[in-house]
Amino acid sequence: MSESSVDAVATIDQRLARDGITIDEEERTRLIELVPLVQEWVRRITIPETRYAEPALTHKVK
Amino acid sequence: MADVPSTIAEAAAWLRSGRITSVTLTEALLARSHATQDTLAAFITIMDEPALAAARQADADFAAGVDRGPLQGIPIAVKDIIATKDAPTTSNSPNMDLSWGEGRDATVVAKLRAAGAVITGKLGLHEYATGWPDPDTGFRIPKNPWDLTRSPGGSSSGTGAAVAGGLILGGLGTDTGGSIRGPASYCGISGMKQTFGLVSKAGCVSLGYSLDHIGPMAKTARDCAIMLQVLAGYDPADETSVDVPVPDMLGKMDGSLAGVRVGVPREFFFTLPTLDPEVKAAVEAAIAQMQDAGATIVEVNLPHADAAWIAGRITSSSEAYTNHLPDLQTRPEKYGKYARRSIMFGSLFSSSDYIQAQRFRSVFNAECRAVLGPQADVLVVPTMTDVAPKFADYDVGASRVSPGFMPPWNVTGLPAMSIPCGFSEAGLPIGMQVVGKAFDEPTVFKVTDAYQQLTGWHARVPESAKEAQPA
Repeated sequence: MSESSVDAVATIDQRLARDGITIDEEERTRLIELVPLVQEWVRRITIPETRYAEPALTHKVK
Repeated sequence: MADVPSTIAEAAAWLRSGRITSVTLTEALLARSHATQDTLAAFITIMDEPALAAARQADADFAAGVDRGPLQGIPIAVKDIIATKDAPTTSNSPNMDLSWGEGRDATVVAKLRAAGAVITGKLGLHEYATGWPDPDTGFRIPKNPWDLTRSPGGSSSGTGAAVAGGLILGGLGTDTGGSIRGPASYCGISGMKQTFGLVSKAGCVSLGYSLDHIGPMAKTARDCAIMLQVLAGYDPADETSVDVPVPDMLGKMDGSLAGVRVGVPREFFFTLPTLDPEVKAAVEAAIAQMQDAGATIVEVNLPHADAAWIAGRITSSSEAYTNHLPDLQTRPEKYGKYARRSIMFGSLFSSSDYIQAQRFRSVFNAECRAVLGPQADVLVVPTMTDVAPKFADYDVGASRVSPGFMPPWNVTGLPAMSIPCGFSEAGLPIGMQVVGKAFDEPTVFKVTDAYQQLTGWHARVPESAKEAQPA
């Protein structure tokens, strides 16, 4: 997750509202709890080598 | 109960020598399949009449001197996320629109039929190939033939259970982050996720567009090679299909490991704290056996392997979320809770996160290309961190966020095969992956077949399969 903010509640509520999704409180809470984890994940794949790398969007295996 | 062969290669020989007919073989395996539905529960749909009609045709072709190749007359089943014209595709979900794929075969199914294979049914899976088996969906939950209280792995759970349980000689699974190789490891069978783009995905319900693969699962590497020879080939109906010549999948099989350079990336794959010591020991022993058989062991370095699984999870979650968003908006209650949770995980990622994962893929692809070819012919790593868990012990939440050894090869699209390499003290199978260069499946098959000629792990049969003989 690219947001540097730790306002996980606002992040999730905004995402769900944007996408027009309604979920129960238990699932919403679970997503909120996962925000720090996915922030860490994105940090781990944001390595210097990727700065000018072309994304493998078309993914032609070589 | 007829004496039946245990592998495709063996069955192909029996069918041609007249030792068995396809009808006899198909009837025997259909009977086993029905007899184990309350225990193994591998199938969602068993297609008796279409299968027997195909078996009769195969026998008639043999009698007329028509030989369509080694799959002619062989009972095979497909994961129920792949379209077949003679049964609906459920994706193991109450949410699935059963008109999807109605009356048509996926490209892979059409290829199997053209090769004379006998399609016996549609196999169970985790809902939409994600999450965890969920009784609330109303479908049977496939069990592990080695211990019915344990998971056969997922998401190709039914294919793993059916092959290991002796209900079919080969099956199709799909693999977005390990869904062929995981069940292969837990069930003690062989499973191949070939190079991305080599096998058409047309007619398969997508999970992660850029990571999905359809591939073969069978008892042996040789059987997987026989199946992949039929399945592979360019298909304009699949946007990601690659137009390259299909190699001779069995062409390099010579039973020898002499001179093969086996790369071992220790970091992450052998150092992860959650790696079960029994799994690690079994894979290490397999590497030592390969060295004793003439392979050269090369220590290699993939510095970002520890993050490659993360790029895979971000990619698959984002793609699955996009795929399912219309239904999540309008009828979320139709999904089972575990699949919905798994798919909703994708809502956590932004577009920049997704693109960053794709940039990471480019970097990791380059890392792998620097090793495979220049330094090693194949890599050997564990398949799973553990042996099959008990259903009762499984932590659904943890599975989504735990590191895995399989997603890196979906991220790169490289061919990766899981084969049995040992058993735990509790008698549960352990698997290892053999990873090759892009489009170099023949070398992966050469190595896996040679290893299986040295060892007997793949030939072990679970007691539940021995007991599956109907009266």
